[in-house]
Amino acid sequence: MKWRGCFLFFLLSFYFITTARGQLITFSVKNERLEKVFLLIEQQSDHHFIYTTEQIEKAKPVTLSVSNEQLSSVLDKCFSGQPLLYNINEKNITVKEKKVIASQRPLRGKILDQNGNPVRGVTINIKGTPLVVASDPNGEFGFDNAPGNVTLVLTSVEIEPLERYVGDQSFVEMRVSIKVGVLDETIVIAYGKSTRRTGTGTVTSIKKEEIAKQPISNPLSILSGRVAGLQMTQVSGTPGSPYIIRLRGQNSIASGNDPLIILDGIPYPYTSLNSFFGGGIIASPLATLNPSDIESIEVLKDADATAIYGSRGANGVILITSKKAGNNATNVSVRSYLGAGKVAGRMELLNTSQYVRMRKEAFANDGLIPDASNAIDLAVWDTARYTDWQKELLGRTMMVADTKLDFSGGNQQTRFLFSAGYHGESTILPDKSFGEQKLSGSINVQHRTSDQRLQFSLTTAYSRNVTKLPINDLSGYILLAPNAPALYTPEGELNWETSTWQNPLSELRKTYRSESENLLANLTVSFKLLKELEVKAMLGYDMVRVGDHTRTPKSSFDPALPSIASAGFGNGSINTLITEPQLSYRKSVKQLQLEALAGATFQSSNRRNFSQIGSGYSSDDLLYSLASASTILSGTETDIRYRYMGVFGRLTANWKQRYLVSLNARRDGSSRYGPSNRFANFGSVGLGWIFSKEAALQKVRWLSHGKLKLSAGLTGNDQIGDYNYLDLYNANTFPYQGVIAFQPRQLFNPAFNWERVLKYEAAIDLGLFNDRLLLAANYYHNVSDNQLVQYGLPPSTGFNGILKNLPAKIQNTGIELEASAIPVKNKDWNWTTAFNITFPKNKLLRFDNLASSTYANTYVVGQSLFITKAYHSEGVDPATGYYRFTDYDRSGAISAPNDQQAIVFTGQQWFGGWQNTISYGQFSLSFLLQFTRQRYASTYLNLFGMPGTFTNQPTLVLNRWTKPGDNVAIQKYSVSGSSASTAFFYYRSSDAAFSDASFVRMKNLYLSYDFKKVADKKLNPNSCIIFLQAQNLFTISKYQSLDPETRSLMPPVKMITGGFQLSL
Amino acid sequence: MNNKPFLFLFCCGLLLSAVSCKKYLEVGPPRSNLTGKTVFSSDNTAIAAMLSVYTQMEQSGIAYNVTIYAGTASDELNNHSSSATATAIANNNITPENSNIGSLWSSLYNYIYQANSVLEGTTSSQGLSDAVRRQLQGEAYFVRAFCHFYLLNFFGNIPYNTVTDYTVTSVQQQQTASQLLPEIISDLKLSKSLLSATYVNADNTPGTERVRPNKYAAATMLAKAYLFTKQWELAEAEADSVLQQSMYSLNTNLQQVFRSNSPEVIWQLRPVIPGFNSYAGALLQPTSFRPFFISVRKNLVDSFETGDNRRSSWVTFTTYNSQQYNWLHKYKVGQNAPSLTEFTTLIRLAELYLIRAEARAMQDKLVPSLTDLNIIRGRAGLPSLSLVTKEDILNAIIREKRVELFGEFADRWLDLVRTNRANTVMPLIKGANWSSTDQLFPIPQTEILRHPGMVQNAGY
Repeated sequence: MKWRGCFLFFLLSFYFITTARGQLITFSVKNERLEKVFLLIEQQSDHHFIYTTEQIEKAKPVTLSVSNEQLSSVLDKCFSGQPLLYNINEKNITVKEKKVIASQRPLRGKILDQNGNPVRGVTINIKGTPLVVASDPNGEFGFDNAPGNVTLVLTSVEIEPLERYVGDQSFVEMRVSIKVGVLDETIVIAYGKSTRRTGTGTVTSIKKEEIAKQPISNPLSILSGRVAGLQMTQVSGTPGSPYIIRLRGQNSIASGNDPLIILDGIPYPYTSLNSFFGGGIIASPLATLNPSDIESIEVLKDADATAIYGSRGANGVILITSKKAGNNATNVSVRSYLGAGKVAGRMELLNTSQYVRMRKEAFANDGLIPDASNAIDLAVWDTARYTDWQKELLGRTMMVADTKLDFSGGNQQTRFLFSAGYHGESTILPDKSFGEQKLSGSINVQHRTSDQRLQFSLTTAYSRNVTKLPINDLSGYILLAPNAPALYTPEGELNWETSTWQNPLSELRKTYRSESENLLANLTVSFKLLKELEVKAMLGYDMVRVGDHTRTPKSSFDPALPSIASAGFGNGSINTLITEPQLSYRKSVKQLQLEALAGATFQSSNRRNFSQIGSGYSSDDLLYSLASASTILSGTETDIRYRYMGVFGRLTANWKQRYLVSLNARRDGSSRYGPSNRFANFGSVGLGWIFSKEAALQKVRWLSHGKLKLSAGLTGNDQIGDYNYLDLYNANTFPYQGVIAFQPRQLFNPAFNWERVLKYEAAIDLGLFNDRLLLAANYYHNVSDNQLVQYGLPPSTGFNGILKNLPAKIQNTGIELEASAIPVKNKDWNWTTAFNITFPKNKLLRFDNLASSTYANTYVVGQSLFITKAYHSEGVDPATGYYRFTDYDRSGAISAPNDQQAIVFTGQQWFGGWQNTISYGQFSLSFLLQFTRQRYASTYLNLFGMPGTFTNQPTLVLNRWTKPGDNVAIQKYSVSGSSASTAFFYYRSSDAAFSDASFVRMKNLYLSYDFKKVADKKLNPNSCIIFLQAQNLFTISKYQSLDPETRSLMPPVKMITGGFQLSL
Repeated sequence: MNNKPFLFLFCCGLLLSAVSCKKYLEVGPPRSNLTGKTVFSSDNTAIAAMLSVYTQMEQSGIAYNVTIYAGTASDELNNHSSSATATAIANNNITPENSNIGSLWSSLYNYIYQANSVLEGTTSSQGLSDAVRRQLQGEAYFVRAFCHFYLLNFFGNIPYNTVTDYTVTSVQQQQTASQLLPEIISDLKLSKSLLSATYVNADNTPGTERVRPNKYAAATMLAKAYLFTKQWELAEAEADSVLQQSMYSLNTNLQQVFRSNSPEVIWQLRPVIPGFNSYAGALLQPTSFRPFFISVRKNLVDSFETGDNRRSSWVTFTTYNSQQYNWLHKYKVGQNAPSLTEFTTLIRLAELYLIRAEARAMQDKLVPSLTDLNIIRGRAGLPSLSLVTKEDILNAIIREKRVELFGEFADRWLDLVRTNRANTVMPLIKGANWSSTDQLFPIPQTEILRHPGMVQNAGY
């Protein structure tokens, strides 16, 4: 029902669009009354005239013929020679009489756009007077009798309104920003810029305005639900927890499916630099970045968009562009919010009486008598005590605070941006001191010579993140028996209940603290050699450094048991230096626009990790010092050098703004391959046809834009780890007979080769009703072969796997549909909506000798890679009370792998998001609903133990077998019975251990009010907004566990924040 | 401004970079590693490659783990750990996914891989001295046989790997005990012929610590293997060859049997983990509380005869919450001792007396057999037995082995299975949890999934 409701709402939005009209006006009148002309215009646009009969009386009759003309030009023609003026304010056209006021002086001026081109048809009004003129085709205007000390108000349907104080000047030059439709907005692509209208590649762009609506810490989390074809899965709800990002499915069988992330031209590390676990996870290096420093995030998907990244483009590319200095006006803006959150998922678990009954029943079923040796919970602990461990351990309210300050300005030649930000959040754990804090600062300076031939831009950004968490994830403790002892003794000490349990709060004393820093510097210099030829050099440096420290004090252990205090000290860093010289050529010959780009990349990265563990401290206070440890062990030690180089070229041609061709080529080399296999060639062809520009379709008024796209290309994947082609020996940690021994690190294969992904795509883009409704449908068809994977080997080979090219082919196909629309747009109301949905399909096309390979029991040719071969559960045997399974091989017993014949599809069938922004006057409300259809996902069974054992259970297990004849879902309780354990083990690996994990989540909600109009006139802010944000507000799902998205015991946080944004 | 120089420089740059491409991508091996070639190019690094096996054996606590798995699965030890994998083993309810059993399997095969890589590396290398080559190859054959021997006993039909090449080992077929034992014996014979009687240091000079296998370690394993092939005469001869050596004698002080200077030791692992002497000693020192991991079963404690000094020397009794706990206490040195005095002992002389006793009894050499048995009894402070029938003597030997070698590298488990006693003894201890197929652990699930043709043991 809920799904249907969503679709209905969506259809409704289409209705609004189709009833809206375009802005182009056509009519022909002869000696007609002005009032009649107004009526004609009103019929063809959504504007209304405000006038008096007196004014119409004075008007002259109109003789005019216009065809498909813009409103402003039609109005200019109507009013030319009339004793009347008009003024457009939103949808209202106010008619005024020309009045002659005391002449004081002439005021002339010129209106230019961002690029210095004149803008015609702008209405210029002297504020507080009825004086109005319009700019001519040269952008010029003039008042013959302007008063002194004036402020000009500039309006037009094509520009962003502007109010500017000009005082007593007699000549003013004003820059205005041209309003651009979504289709013509600049989007960042590989080594350049493009627009949705003329681009041949498939790119989704998320702008800073969207990012600003979310109280997030990891910038990538903005992408979930907004980008067609992009699946985002957060590993856990713990702060800093990494995302698994898959663009257009899984291309590689075992590893290397992460998209290439490029931050201001510098490839960002995807492997963590942390040495230790914090909160049970290894943090993602991206957690260091501050989302509010980002101008836009672009996701490049098809061959045309990614082939220029050659060997690293196979899994798609995410380009992150940081904020740059904008226009000349001095601007200060502050954005700040505060908020609080609670864990977003909860599972109903047994209470004490239910639990105790379960345990006693289990013992009775097994014919055992609970005593102190086998049932501490029943024989030793208070069986009346009850603690809701979910509430106790994960129930705290977390707090979040965020502030961002931007200061920008400059002049025609030099512009700058300084910004600083802070983000802090605590956790839901029962200790306030845990959480993360992020500080960031950046400087961008741009300069160009007055002839604009030499341009220079320098960005330096620094961010620092301090995270403090317990070493282990506390969420596992929600499985504690509900009658487990009190956390504290009456004296306020940790209660160990005479060594009968592991007090969960002791985990809070085992702390993890990491400090990570990211320093990014990017220098771009470009020089126009000729009018068409530009040479450009990008020099980038990125340093990520992580220092982490764990403390396991003696006070975190049961004092009655032997224990040893220890501390871990880790250091990780990655330094990347990249140089990209480029040469670009741009030429227009008649109707043909040509662009050519040639360049090279040289990247060198050095990754170091070093950790040490000290133990045997005489006091917990010394745990910050390595020198105070009686024993020091070295932990990890890596020193990886990675070199990468490529030469690339692109040629794009645009003929008549109709026919588009784009060719990409790249030759790549990577040090991750053996000397004989280091280089490979990649490339793509993209074609586009803007058919709406064809003469035959020009007449179709509802079709404002229509484009067909085709692209095909070859990309590769080098996410294979370093030095794998070498036969390496690692040093052991400890000496033997005084000697540090060496052990073989891995099985090695000196001759592995590149993994390739062939990508094809066909797409159609439509803009309807003057681009108020934009539709895009993409079909992609990617085939990856020469699978280079860590091929799992039987442990009897001495190792678990080897890197090897497999003769296997994987096909990812899918349909992505995107629609965005402005269903309502009038004086008060504005509603924009965007919807995307993806239907991915993954298929193993070919796998020679699958049956004899290590994947024999994992994959099936012709099926998706997202399958699990499971036992088939036949439910609980009413006679015995144990689970039964289908004995496929009729061997009389259930065994792996022969009886694991039930194929469960665990992938997503479709997913997407629906974004809406509704504004009324100064109010604005936007929300994002994220949805996923997934029939089968592993349930609580894989997080909890066997019902009857010494762990709590979901209330679902109450429906268990108690006597012969019972027809129930859950088998009889058991403590350790061999039949019960075996049956439970099979059940866990059976098709019954999967449940529907489809969900709809209110991912984000944003409500704001802009005080600009009511704010202090002297302050005259650009914007003054107060806002409320909510993250993960609600989730609708039937999933049988805590959270359908992370599927861990630690769900994400539901957060509500409030704040303001002031821009001067 | 003149543009030509810029254009020229840019083109030169591009050209230059294209030429130096190959060079640019040369990063060399990582600084923290050696490559296989360099490892076997000199004596010192080649020895280091062999020592890695012993380091890892001790570091991973293989002797401790095997003792606990087999001890709790059999009639020796109670499990006190709440870990699900440990509980499953103690309940003889092991699944193929059990991670303890899985890592036992993969670490033994990893040692086999390393032994094979030493054999291959030392054979092809030109840079090694003959003495080192012989020593390392002898040790490698020994390790290979030793690991396969225990794999066979725990897992039944297993592949016997003699090369490092994964294309061969990943499809190596399982073999039965009757096929595997001759291979084990053949490797041990090679080892015995290559190794000398002296124990060596890391620089291949004679040393006092018995922390690497010598000729007699190989002979002991041979004697043990012959018991399985029922080649009693050969078993006796091999045991004999060790027992005749004056460098070995039973330690009269039961408290010091596992010392590094104990004359009884044939092969030990040197401590590697800082703060630890033997791994077991570090983890199993008695406290005044409930044992954290294991304790000795009451029925084993009860089976000590009155006056048996081993009961008081190797078990420590405590009471906690009015419950009596019997601590396995063969290793006396706990953590953070001032010096290294007690090492994990894998092979000691007492076992050889009992092997010879059994081999002799089987050949109806009853009197010499009884003599061997009584030597062990005498050291424990017990009177000599004067049994007459072969069956009585054999039963006495098995009982003696139980009280002499309990908690030592699965000795009891191997005896129960080898002598077909498991199905009589175990149901009395484990009740309904025991089934006949529990005599073998399951082959780990990853192995079954990834190894074509691998057959799981019955009952799993």
